[in-house]
Amino acid sequence: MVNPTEPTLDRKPSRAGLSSPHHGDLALTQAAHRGDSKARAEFVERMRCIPRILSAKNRRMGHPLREEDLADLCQETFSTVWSKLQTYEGTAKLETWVARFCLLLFMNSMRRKLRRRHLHLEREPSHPEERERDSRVDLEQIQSAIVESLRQLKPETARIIEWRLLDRQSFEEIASRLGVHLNTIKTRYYRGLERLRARLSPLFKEELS
Amino acid sequence: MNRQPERPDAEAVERAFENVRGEAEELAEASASSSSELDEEAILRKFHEQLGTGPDVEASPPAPVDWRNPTPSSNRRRWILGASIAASLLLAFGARLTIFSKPETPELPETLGPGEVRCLSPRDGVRSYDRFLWDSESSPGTSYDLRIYAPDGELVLLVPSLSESSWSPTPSELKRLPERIRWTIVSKDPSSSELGSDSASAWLSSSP
Repeated sequence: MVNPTEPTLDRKPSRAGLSSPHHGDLALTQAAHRGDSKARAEFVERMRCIPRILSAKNRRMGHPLREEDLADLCQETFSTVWSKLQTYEGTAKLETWVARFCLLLFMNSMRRKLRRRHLHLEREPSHPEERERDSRVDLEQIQSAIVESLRQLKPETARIIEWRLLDRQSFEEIASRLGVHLNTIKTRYYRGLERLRARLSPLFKEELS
Repeated sequence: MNRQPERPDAEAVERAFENVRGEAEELAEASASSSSELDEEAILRKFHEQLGTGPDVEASPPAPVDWRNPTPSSNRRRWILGASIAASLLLAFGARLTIFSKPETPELPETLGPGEVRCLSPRDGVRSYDRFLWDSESSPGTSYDLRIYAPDGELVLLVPSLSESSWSPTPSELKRLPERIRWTIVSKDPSSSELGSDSASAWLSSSP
């Protein structure tokens, strides 16, 4: 997922159909997107996972976000998920797919908060708890920045990396899906990872070494 | 070509993805059995509002309208139905004008301002949709969202966050595209704020 505000986990509309491991979830999202009112109601009920995931993440991080921030973030996440619904392919369970958006939007929100603090307050965290929390945030930011940086790659390369690392598809599966030779897929994959690393290395020298 | 030296470096990136994927799975799993400190019902109500649905959509199907002896509420429904049909017709007409009635050679500005974007091809009659190309006066970090619509306005393909000013569909994506399309391109800055947008219509033709 992606940029400071918008995840880009998936880059193409669903096409997986019956071969998707989570065909039921895929059918639900497609029906909801078509406007089926029952499907939409069920979809919203499934999105109950958003406040739960974001709350759990906030707890893990030491409650850096206030309750009202979290509620706003729930809405932002839901909007993002809805706008990306056509890209859901049923390769992961719906809640897992949504959780990826939750994680990266959470980190984006943290990043905005930190940036505001550094820009406007211009102070270092003074309390040990605050320092510890910020170091956790830094590590998390590295992860989200890496995933976010997918958007800087060619869509085809980004898609291969997403399928391989987030959906755990084998190189063979990806090659067959795209109708491209296996070695070509591998070459694009490793080249893509190298580009990601090259872009991120100056920012996160220690953590990536 | 020996690619071995690259792989240890790539592992760090793979680990980061693995962490995100693993945590997403873990949190998703836990969300089935845990509740949040937030007011979930209030949040879900907002979700419903956004989609124009309600928790009782399934539970209470609309009552049949007695057309022979209309009540005030059925009169209101009839009025709403009529107004909806009229509005739909107007919208459909408007959409048709938007999609298909653009001048074939629209007047375009000579130069583009910062963030502005302009659809270059395909436009009008083309042999294939093998490459989408646009022009932009972009600064570093600018990205583009490409959307392709069918004539009835349905979104056929969304390709978000492109970093270059062209995109080529895969063979399977190409198959999904209808004969006539309208496509839009939106440029965004690194914080995802929209900088500019443009749209164009095209159709498959043997003699472009």
